[in-house]
Amino acid sequence: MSEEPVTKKLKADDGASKSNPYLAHLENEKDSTVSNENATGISGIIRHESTAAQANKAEDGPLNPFNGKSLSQKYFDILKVRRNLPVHLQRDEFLKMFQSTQIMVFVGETGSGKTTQIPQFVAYDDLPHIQGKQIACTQPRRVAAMSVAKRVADEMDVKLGEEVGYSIRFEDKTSSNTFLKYMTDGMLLREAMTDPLLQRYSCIILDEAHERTLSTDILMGLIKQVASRRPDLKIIVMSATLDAEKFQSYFNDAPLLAVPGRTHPVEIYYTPEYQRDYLEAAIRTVLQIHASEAEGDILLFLTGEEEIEDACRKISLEADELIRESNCGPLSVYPLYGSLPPSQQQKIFDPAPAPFTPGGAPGRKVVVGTNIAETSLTIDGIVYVVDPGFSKQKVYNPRIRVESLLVAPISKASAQQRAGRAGRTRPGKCFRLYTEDAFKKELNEQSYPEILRSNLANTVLELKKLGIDDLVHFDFMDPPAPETMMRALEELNFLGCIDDDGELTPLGRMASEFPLDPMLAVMLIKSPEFYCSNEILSITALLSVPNVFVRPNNARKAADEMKGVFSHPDGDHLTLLNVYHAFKSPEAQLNPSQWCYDHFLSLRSLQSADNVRFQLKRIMERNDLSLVSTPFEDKNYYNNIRKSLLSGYFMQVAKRMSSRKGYITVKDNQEVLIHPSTVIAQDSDWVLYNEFVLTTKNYIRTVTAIKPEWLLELAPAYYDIEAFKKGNVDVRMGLEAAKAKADRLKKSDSKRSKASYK
Amino acid sequence: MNKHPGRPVASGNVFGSDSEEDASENVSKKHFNRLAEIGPVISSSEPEVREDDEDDDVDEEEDYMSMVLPGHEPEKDFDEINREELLSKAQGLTKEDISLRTNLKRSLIEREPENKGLKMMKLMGFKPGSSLGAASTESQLNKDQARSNEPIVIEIKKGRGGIGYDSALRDEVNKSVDVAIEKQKESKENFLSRISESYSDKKLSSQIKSAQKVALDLDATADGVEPETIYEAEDPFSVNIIYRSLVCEHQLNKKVRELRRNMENPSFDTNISVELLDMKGDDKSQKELEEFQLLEKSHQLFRVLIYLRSVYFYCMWCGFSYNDENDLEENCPGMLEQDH
Repeated sequence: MSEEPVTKKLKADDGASKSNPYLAHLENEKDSTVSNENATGISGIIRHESTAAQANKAEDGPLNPFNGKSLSQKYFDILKVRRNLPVHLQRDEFLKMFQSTQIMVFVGETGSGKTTQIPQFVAYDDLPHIQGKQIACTQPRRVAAMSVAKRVADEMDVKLGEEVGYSIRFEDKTSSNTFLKYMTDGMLLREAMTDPLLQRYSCIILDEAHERTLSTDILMGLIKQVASRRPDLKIIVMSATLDAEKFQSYFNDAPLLAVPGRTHPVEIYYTPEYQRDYLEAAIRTVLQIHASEAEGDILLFLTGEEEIEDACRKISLEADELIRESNCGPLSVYPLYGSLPPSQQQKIFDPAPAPFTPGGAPGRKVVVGTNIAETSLTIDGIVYVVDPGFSKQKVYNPRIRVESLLVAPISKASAQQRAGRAGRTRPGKCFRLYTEDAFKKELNEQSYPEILRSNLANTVLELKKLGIDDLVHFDFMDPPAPETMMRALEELNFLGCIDDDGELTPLGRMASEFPLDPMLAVMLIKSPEFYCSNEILSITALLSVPNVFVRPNNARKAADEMKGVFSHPDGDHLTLLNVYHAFKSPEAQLNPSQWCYDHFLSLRSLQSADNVRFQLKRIMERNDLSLVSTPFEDKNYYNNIRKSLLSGYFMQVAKRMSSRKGYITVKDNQEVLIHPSTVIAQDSDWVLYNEFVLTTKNYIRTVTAIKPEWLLELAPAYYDIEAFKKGNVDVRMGLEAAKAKADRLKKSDSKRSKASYK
Repeated sequence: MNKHPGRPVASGNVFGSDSEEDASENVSKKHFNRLAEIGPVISSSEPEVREDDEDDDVDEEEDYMSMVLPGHEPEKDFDEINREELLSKAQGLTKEDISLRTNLKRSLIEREPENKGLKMMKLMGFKPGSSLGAASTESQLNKDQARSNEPIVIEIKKGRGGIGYDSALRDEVNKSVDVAIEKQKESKENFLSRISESYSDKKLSSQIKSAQKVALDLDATADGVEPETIYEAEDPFSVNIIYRSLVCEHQLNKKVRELRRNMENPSFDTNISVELLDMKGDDKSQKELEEFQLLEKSHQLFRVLIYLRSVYFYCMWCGFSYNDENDLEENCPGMLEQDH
């Protein structure tokens, strides 16, 4: 292929400049384009004027155009595969649109290759390494950022962390050579706090935008602002679903390029009646498919770890029976959920088992997964999808101030996405475990974006740090409920992060430097005042990783007994601290893996807590926060830690009810029970809690006993007794008693001190 | 705790067979006499209730009802309170669930006008009632879809019913509650007609009083307090409507006695005497009491008896509490004295 026809090119430019206000810069920019044959080996490529043919030629080697080294055989092997990806066919179309507009929307279904290929297409045209700039490609998930960066480094035949790297919370794998950086959307947002115009980037790719994570939504609002101030910045919004009009209209009618996925038709089946137990129905359906349908693997969507493990067990058991009774082929069952160790997650890619006898009934693989398998992961060979129609979704409601994961019906868009998974290899079938009528009537069109389902305290702090003063009129793609923002501002004010006028305080500025929830950040910053910053640092790290306690189904009792060894009568936070100290003991460090196994602890969680602790420690040191401990022999060792916990968590306190079982949260007056997993020994009247979980019961989880006097001492503004006059009687009377006691103590103290002066 | 999915949907048993659910049963049993408390947390404990506050209160209850009961106009009647009781029982709602639902319905902007977060937002130009976001976005969105300013509704899924199951169950529950209420209405009419034939007013009055005493004692036991605490309640109008007249009368008698004693005292000031006898509750509870007292005596008795039977499965004439509804239905001869 040679040059593109000139006329066509001109036409494209013309059309675009009329419709797109971002094109004004193009004239100037052409002067600054660089042709840099000798230095790079990207022969003849002019920045923002390249064609697919030129790029293909550069890719063909023999030298790596980006570092001049000779290309490996593995590189060429992968290159062959890459050229077969659906996106590759439209490389020219992509380049033309990319060159002619500042912002574009790109739609490509999972498996089209967009996440790995588009950033490379950009690299060959944008030449960031020559500009001294970088390309950023954001991902909602840490794991995705890491694994995709690894894959792309392989594809480009470079060392991960050199030309291609990644940056996620608590881990930065980039160098000064890095020009293509995969990162979580949250990390890019953090970078914007110190580099508001994102000057280090020449192109920003927001991938998986359809997932509408909180950070992606904020980034979109931010980048929309930055775009008008930085005409040289290119932006690509990538989505895996076809509802791209919303993105287009948000970005001032940006042009759209859609790459059709390689999909086959999927037949959809509904049940004639609603199901009384979707789990049971799902298991039945899977077995029925195995018994009667043609070859092909099965993907079953369920809501969470416990349910998935339960289903896997039952399917395996019943499949064994089925195989004994009929002449079915073998069936292997694999779970898939976020907290699964990567080695086990990898198993889902194993091929289906071979038939028992050559030519016998085919073997089959069943993957039972959460909605990770909906868009972000492609499993080859799936022909049957079983969809009960539920997923676990985060919800937040400012009226009761609870952020929790709840099982809820999925949206129609999600259901379509799930069905689509069956058609990747050949025509497939999707079994929906609900009626067609229910599909139409009970499912929302689209899922709610995360910004509508989250506590915004952290986001508001970020926005403040980004210099956005008018939060009310920030250009949200979907504006959150006013009450949610009101709560967020109020919480930050009580924490001391913003003043009454909504201005960031020095404490708030410091808190925003920690990649933590504001309550945790404030607790950590204030911990030196309580002489226990070492301990609070450990606890914060432990609260930032998945649960360290392991409780296998077949050994629950033993696990609970072992947890008892670490338990502290004052509650779960101190128990976590005991675990960490034990883990760091020489005895445990001798063979950490065995030690964790013996003690029913998760090595992965503890190691990642160790890493988080190290990262947070560096931020503390940077902010001159001293790392101190109360001597362990001191009777206030644990009291200081509890008080320090309360200095951040004073808004999450519950009081035991005098007339009934259970607790009531202060201010919101929500009746709750303490989660059965807690170790708190004595029935403490007042507790602080890390989490309010809504399940079939309303629980508070990870709790620590506190004294009511501390509330008045540490958070007098929040515990202004006047404000409780209309609230719950138990809480009010408890606080009044505590105040009376504190006053008495003060009096006797002053008497005593007077006496000692005499 | 929730056993609904295991139950056959169409049997109509969803509502009745609660025998395995003792724990939640107890809670919902208590819920009946506590229902009155859920509202008052918001308003009636404040003396200076604004007119529209009270309206809000009513709206809320209606909201609650319409959520589970589309198409049913809630009547502000005793039967209606009972409907709520029956519904929450049928749905296996606990005290915590109900407290959650109530809290979820109250807008913060109205509830906390002095909220600092709200003040900051007003500084940024926020007007209550409007939504957040850039002006342009708002108009775009309004074109696409009407955006609600309300936070997303939290619905807690209990059990493993498939999509469509919960709404089917809800219909089922509503139907069975309708049936139960219909049955109760029949028995009310039956009761009223039979009782007016054979009872004198005087006898009825004394029976109402003894039934009220039992109700008060049972409530006191359930709350873990002495009956005297209720008799001597600081505000006699705040006690359960079922025996509010009893408590008011008790306190009035006491005051009269005190007054008599004082009259014998020469230094007695007559102004105080008027004040002493002037008993008044807030408008709402006073009106409620008046309405109760305006009912036919037989109707009053019915209300107290049905309260005892539905909340405590207690029969006045048998003189004890049955284990549950079925037990009461099968083993108690009837609601009337002459049945026994």
